[in-house]
Amino acid sequence: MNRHEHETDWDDELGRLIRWSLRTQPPTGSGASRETWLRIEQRTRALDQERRLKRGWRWWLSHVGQVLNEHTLGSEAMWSPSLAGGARGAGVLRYRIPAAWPVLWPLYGPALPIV
Amino acid sequence: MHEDGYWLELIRRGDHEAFACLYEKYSKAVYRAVLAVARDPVAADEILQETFVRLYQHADSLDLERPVLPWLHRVAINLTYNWIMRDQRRFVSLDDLSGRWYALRALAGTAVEVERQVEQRERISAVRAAIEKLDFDHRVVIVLFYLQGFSLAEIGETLSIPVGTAKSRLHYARKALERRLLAESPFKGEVAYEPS
Repeated sequence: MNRHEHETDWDDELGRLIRWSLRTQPPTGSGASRETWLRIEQRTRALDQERRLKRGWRWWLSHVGQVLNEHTLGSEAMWSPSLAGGARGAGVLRYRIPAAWPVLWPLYGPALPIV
Repeated sequence: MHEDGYWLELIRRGDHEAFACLYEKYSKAVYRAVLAVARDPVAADEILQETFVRLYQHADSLDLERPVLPWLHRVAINLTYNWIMRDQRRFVSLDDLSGRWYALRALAGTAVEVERQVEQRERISAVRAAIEKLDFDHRVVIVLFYLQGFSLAEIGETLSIPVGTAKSRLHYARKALERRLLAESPFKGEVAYEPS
């Protein structure tokens, strides 16, 4: 930048010529039209739905996970020490929840076996 | 809170009417800037869509104290840059873009009017062809300053560059335009301004 830059008149004749040329742009395309808005709205509605599903899934995971921890996995932790070395050690498995269980529960509900 | 912050808060809660209000407020300005840089109405339309979808997606992270327009321009300009880089062949010439419109306008006028319009069209084409030949950074600064009416500070904020850099880009963009207009303009003999 030259040292006199602070004195530049951006709105000199060249500036006005540039502005005039840009602002006389012909109206082309469907820019900012109703159709464009409808397409945007369609996409944002789809985003809303996706967000709702994610929120529901997170809620479900946190609540069901808590229930599992308190009532089932907690039981395992409590029982394990007494059963670990005993002849009935295999019984621990009855309280262990397979990783896929929370995912399948909504589909099969109480019918889903606990191994 | 900035006026736009009020709309953003509603958008965060999924209010589509508030979103429509912001679209109504800013879409034309964003479209105009994108079209001036990209020179392709179809691309400008797609970029406009994508820009507003991103506004909706990122409403949670935007500052409620600041206006949205610089952010919209930043996103739109980045998308335009990506589009240009992705496929240079889709670049549409200025004359292709404006020819039909001017022809239709000319049909409606008298002979003198037609002549005046043709001359104006040529002058406009010369300036805009020179703008088109600027590199991307310079073209963007010219469009933001002269078409959108942004201040240098607003350009700096929009492009995430210091004000001094915005000023420097504008200066060099103007110099480049001046050189091109003098060298290529059909109005060589009647320069419309005094070169500095």
